[in-house]
Amino acid sequence: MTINSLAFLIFFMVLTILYYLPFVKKYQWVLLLAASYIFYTLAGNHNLIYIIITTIVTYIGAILLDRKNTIQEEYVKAHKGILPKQEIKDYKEKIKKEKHKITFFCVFINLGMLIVIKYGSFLMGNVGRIFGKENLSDISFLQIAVPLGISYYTLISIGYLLDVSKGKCKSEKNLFKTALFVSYFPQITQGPFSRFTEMAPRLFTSHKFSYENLSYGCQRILWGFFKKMVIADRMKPMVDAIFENYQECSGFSLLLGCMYFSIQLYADFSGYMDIVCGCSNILGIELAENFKRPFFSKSLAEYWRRWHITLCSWFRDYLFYPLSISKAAVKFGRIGKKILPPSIAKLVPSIFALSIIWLSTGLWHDASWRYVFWGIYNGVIIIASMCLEPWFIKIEKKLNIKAENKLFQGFQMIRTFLIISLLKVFPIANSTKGSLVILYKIFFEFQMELSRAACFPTFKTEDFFCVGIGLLIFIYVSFKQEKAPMHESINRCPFVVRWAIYLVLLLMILTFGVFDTGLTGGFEYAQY
Amino acid sequence: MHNIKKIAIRLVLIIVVVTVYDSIIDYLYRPYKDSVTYTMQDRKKLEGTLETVFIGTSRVQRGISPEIMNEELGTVSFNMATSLQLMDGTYHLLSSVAEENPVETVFLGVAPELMLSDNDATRSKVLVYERMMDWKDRLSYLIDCCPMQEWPYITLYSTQVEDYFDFDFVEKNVEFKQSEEYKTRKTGKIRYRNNGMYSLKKSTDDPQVTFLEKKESIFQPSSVNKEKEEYFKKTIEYCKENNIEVVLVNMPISGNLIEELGDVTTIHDYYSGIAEEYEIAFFDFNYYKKLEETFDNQRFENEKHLNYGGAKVFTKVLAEVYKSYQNGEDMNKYFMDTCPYYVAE
Repeated sequence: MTINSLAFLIFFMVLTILYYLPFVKKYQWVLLLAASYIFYTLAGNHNLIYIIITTIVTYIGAILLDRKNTIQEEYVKAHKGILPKQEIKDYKEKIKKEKHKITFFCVFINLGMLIVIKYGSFLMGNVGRIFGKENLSDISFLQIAVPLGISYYTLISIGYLLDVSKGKCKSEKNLFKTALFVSYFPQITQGPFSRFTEMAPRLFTSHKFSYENLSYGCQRILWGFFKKMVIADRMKPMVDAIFENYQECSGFSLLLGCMYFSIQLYADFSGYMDIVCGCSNILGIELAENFKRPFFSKSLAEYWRRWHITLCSWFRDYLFYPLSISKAAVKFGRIGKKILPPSIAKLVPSIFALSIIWLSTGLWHDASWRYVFWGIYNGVIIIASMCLEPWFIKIEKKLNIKAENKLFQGFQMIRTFLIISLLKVFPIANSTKGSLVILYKIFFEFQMELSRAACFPTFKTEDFFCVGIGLLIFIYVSFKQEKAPMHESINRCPFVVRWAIYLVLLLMILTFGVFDTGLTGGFEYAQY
Repeated sequence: MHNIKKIAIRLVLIIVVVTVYDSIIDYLYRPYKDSVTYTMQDRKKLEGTLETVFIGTSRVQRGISPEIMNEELGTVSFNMATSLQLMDGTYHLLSSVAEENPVETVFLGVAPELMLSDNDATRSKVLVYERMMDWKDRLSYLIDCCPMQEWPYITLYSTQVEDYFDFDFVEKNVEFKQSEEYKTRKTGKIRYRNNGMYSLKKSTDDPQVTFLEKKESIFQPSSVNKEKEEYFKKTIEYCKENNIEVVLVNMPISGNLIEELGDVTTIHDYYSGIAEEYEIAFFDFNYYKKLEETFDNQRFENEKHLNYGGAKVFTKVLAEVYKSYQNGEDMNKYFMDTCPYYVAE
């Protein structure tokens, strides 16, 4: 059962009816937990052992960490002004070390499972290659099917443990409530990455039925289906046709393919997000937003603040900040000051942290060298643009280009779109070699050809109309949303206009959407 | 309560709009050649009177004429076969017909290759679904045989249209649907014959044979899909429980194909086994004594399907064989122990 299936909609409808029954009110969270596990099983995960282990480890770890925080607080409170400051400081340091041990142990188990299941084969394959034993990756315990959503719920759990460790939130004393936080069904397969501090009050309290929530939720679900079925699913065969035959395609066709894939992936992933956020809204639980019109970004760094926002903020809060103030970063900073110009030297700790982050982000997506390259490529561009920023500012001043100039902003957006489209050679190819061949062809065998077969392979006339109309609406809505939330504008419309919009959108899905089940499938990001 | 009313009104509005829209699209885009409209008109006319049913795949749909059979046997018959009809579809379609009609005999033609296939075409399910009169039967078929993912495609015609922007087609299609020719069915343009029978060729005795495909021998009893076999047996059991006589028919295929396939014997043995197990009649027309002269290549529109001329001949032969069978005559006068093409070799 995927989120875009009728089965899911029926499942969700039944859940919503049960959820708002008067006698269920107190136990809404229990129902959500049961629904999450049922959904997880129906989505194809019959082996629940990994998510259960993660939940138990997270639950115990959080309680132990919280206990340490309480012990420390009580100790400080009882001895403040009595014991010397140094002694209190030493005590805090001791507790900190103990907390580190607990955190390390829990993260080791949770992350360890992810590494063994998702990266074991990749790591052993590479070790085997180094030592001339090609079949090392065939070890039976490494051949476990990767459980759906493991990359998502592992990071969500680790984030929670780190928050408790830092005292940002209290631990949850109920194991089943922790289980719900880890497995909450709208976010388990593709995110967003929620924080316990935000989610706990929404998940564990009772919600009254609200027609406004239902209306807003349905709007988002409808919009999500429109993006997924009219744009993403229609474009998929064309993108597949280009990259399945990349050897025969010119660099020009491949570059176009990368651009199409950027649009397809955005429509697919943001469509998914709209559907799950809409569902969660109906249940009265607001999820974090994951997209903010990324194609309006004027730089790659801004793009990553608008695309997969919760993943980026996770890496920023739990990896970037700790790394940039770590001992190693400070050490690198000192070395940088000696050998680099001051404008760059001050960036060295950030560069150090960014390098590790982009490597990790690449590996988080998939255990393969092409994603390592993808991470390096992202990191290099962002670091280079950071280092070159002073020069860019100088050039802009010399050429008298103003940042608010619409034309210049347009240029920046197109430039960013091209960069992120080029980055797509890594996820779209089926191997590292394939990615590098595609890149080579784009740069050295460009051969611009404007025929329909070269620009839009497999695209029929009706596909042009369907995707064209879909994209026009998509772009219009994006521009409107950049100024104000679209649902607010719709809600201000009279009933007839509002319902005309909904019905037209629904009929457009029926008319232009892809329903042939041979062509539709799950979502692109579910593979991560 | 106020909210429930509000939601209910909106749900009804959505359902009404979608239904009206789907009906309009159906009228505009469903090709006039599509046999389902006429099939359903004929079904409605004959509902409650059907005594004989032909069911199976396109070979039956194009190969057996109910009109001729009615003349030969003095019965009221209907052809319920559809392209690529799978056994679960056959079962549901047959039970839906049998519940509303005094069905006495069923001629069941199973295409051997469909007993093997794992890839069930959604399109074939649409054809079965559309031939059901009752919404309860439709729902039962959807729940029992179709993954939920396929439901919108099967139930809504607007999701099946391949090209919404072919306005020339729409114009011609609507124009023809409004014409008298369409209503009276008196035209060479319509390939629907009567009582569910459909024939591809316009003319009645088109002598041209088009060989569409060549297939290698694939039928092996061990590779029969267990689920399909279960439905095959379930269909026979359903008939027996309801005192409906089942006649298993293997439709004739062209000589070219018989020679190429080489697995006609395997297919015959498999069906004979089933027929013996359930004590039902089995007429294998690839073992028919006069196969070569009666069903030469001129009687086919392609390797697997009889043309209209071939269908007329075949229906008469089938009626004659069935009458003899009912009279307890020796079937050896019609059938050999092996395929005549193999003897000729």
